Amino acid sequence: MSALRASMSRMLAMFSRRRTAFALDEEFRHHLELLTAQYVNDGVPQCDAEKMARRAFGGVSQIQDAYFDEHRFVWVDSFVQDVGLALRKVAREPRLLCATALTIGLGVGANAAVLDTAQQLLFRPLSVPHPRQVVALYHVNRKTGQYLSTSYPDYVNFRDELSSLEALSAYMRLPVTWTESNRLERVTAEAVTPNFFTMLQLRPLLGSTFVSYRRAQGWPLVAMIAESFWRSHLGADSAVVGRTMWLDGQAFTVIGVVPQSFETQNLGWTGQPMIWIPMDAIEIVQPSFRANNLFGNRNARFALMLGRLRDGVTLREAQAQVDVVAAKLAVEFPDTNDQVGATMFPAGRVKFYPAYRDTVTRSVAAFVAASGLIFVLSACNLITLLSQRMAARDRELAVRLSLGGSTARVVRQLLLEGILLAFPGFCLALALAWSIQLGINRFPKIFGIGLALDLKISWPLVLVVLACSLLMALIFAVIPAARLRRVSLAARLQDDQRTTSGRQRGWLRAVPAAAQVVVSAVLLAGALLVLRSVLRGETADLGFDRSRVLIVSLETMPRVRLTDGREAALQVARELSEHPGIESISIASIPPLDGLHQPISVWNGSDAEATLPADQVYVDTRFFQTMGIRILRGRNFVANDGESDEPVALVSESLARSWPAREAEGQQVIVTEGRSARKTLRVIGVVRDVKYRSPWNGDRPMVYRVDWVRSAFVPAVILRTVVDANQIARDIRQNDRALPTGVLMTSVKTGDDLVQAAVTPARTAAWFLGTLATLALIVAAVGLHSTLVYAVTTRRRELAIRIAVGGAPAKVALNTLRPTAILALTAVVIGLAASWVFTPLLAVQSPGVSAHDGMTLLAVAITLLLACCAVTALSLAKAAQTSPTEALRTN
Amino acid sequence: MDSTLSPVPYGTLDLIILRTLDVLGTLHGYGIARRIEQLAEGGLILNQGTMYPALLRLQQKGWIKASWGASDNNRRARFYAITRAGRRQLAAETRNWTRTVSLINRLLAGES
Repeated sequence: MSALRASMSRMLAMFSRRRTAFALDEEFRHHLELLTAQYVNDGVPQCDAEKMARRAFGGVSQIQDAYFDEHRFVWVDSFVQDVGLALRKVAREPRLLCATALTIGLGVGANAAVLDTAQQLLFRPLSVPHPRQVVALYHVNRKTGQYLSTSYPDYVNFRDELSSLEALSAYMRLPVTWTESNRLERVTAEAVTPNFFTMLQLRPLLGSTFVSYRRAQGWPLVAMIAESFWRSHLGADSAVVGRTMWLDGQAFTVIGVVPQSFETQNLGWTGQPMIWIPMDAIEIVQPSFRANNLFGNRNARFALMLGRLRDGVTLREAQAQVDVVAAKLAVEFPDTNDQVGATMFPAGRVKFYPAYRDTVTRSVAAFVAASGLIFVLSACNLITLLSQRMAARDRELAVRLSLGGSTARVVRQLLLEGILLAFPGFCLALALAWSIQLGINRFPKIFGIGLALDLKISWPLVLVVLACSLLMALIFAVIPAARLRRVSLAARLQDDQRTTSGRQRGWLRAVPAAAQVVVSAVLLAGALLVLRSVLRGETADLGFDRSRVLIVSLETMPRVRLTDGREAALQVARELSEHPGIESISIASIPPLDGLHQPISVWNGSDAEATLPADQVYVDTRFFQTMGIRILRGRNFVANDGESDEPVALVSESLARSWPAREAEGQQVIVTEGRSARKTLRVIGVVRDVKYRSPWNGDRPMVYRVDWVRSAFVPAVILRTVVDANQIARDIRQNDRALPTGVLMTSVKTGDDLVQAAVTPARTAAWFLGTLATLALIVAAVGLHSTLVYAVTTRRRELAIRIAVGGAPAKVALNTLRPTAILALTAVVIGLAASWVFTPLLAVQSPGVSAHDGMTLLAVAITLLLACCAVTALSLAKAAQTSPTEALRTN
Repeated sequence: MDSTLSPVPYGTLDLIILRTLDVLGTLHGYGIARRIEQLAEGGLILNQGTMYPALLRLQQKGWIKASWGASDNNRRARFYAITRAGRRQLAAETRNWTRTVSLINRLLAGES
């Protein structure tokens, strides 16, 4: 009890030191006065009495120290002193503080962001109870190895026959239009089987899941909404359950709210779903499903499957059962299921179509490698800083130890300095991680496919960043502390007189500097490769004249049933043609570089088996003129080609080359869209290859048709302007009164806009890698320079003697710097070899450029050599300035 | 140094202070030191100032309490008084000391 009381008293005393000192002083003075008075009373003269009193009392300052040792916790006091000292020390070295903060921030921040993304994309299980039981089931074509979606009848078979699964659900993504009063918005929705949320064991935030409503009135026009949608669009209305919501013109009843903690099981479709509707509702929202009997057609593969394993069942056991069911279906339905198997994956491992796994993994690996290199760079930089600091601190530490400072206290102070240095690094790391995540969220295609990423700074991430920053800073602090045992004052004070120890430590500096050169070479190669790809994309000959082209994208308004979308687009075209400055106007089902394509198989009759993969576009007679696409042979479409009994087509050069011995014109091609809808077309002309899918890919064969099929789909309107396209684009955007009823204008893009949008993911990657490479290059140059300068300063005396005995200053300096310079050149060569290994990882980010692009590697080599030469020249100049007299005098 | 003088035995200063305050009631630092010297009749070496850390220690443990008041020479002084817990502690310390002394006496008597 008394011990506790004493501790409390000491704790409180920490806050009253000044007051206590004052009171103690008063008490001591009083005591000394009384003691003096006593001696005076005993007959001692006043001045002697005062001396005797002081002697009898004892040393005042020692007693005060002893008093204060009792008065408070000594360790807290010394800790506060150490913190103060560390703060002053750190504040006196702002350059060191900045360098350490930057190093730690860069190394930790970049890695934290990239590794967190990798974890979310490739490893993190779904955010549902018992996530390891959740599995994804994909069909796979055994012949081609291609992954396939499932048809509804196949799903029903798997659902009913897989006893190893507790439940199996199917889902598909569909965009819907949400309307409320005057507000209209396209939102992402998912159609799911009613057991979807019960299979996931997900408890809704409000309301209930589909299973409970299955037999209720209003089924299937019910919907569940995401918590974020509920908050942003419905004002977090607590009475939302039962509320009516208009989706694609149909009234749906909200039955539940899905909590924010649930992240979509499929990141491969850009954007998290906001609304879930039962699959039974699709036939009402999209009548074509009923018209084409898509729920009864095994050929219509429109859904994906997600299930939950029963307790105790392993993935391997479940896969064995899946194989049996797939084999059975292949026998029963050979037309559709022959050679079609099915593969089961843990759901957390396939958050996007398995076919993209390689692409995404490769991209992620490239970013992990880049950030790993940055970590190496940071570590090297830290070692360089460390060796500088060691040299500066050795003497100070030796003096402190010689004066009786305890090793523990000195170590503690070094650790405190480390922590203080880590803090700005931690803040910087967090800021960097946040900005990188923001960049990735904004450009989800950076990993090759559009991903619905919602990266954010989470508490675990903050803690990891903090731990890593502290670890790095503590290593920074602990290494000099570990050397304390070896620090001897005499040795330290003599150190400047010797050159050997400087030489030994020189290696400690030179190797990290060389490693930095290697890292910069690799990052520079990556950045230049991606940049080259961006430049190629931007300046590519697209096959059409993009300079004065405008693409006006149109869409049908919800609740308006258009019978002929093409006619609506033609009407828009007629209206727009009255706008001044328009040279030509046309329509096309899919404009170039739009991200959409309509793949077909083309059989040209020259080989009994082979079909060619191609894309088809429906156009009109003025399309080639408007786009500026040259017709190489044959003729353009004419007015009544579209209504002709024998449909005609123009083909691209690359498709025309498939008739090696004959001219393409006049030949017949049979095009097949999906598994049906075959059509025979007569080729009437050949046009230039157009980079329709991407600015880098011009070899995709194209078929242009004019035999439009009447549908509600509204094609795009393409304009060629006489004047600046941007000006007309602005006019069109501001004035959309020309639109017919039921048609929305979604975008107006110039040719350059199309290209810029297409190269944006690559440009983001180039920006990211370019920033890292620039930083790496600067750090490497500084590292190399300080290594060379260090070599000069530690061997100043030796240099001075050599110059004094007649050596030419430049030659002597060159000899001194030669080992480090050779090491730097070796590092450049190693860096180029490392780039050779690294750059293939960036294949997705650098389309259109070979992974081992010679020009890029040459540019890297030249840049690094120039940097090394510049740094060496600077150091050489410094070394050559050595004055023998001055150097020998100061040493 | 006078060989008849001996330093305050280790660990006994607390006991001496508690006993002094118990017998004489409230005293300031000088008063306590003076009383100890009188009782020791010049047989103890005590730097009077060393008493102050001990006074603080006893105060922190709650065995004595301090309060400011006016001294005989009309100066502001801090007065110390034993507490109830201090008396209990004194009794315990006295028992320990007696036991230790008698043990040492028995041992010394046995040896002679």
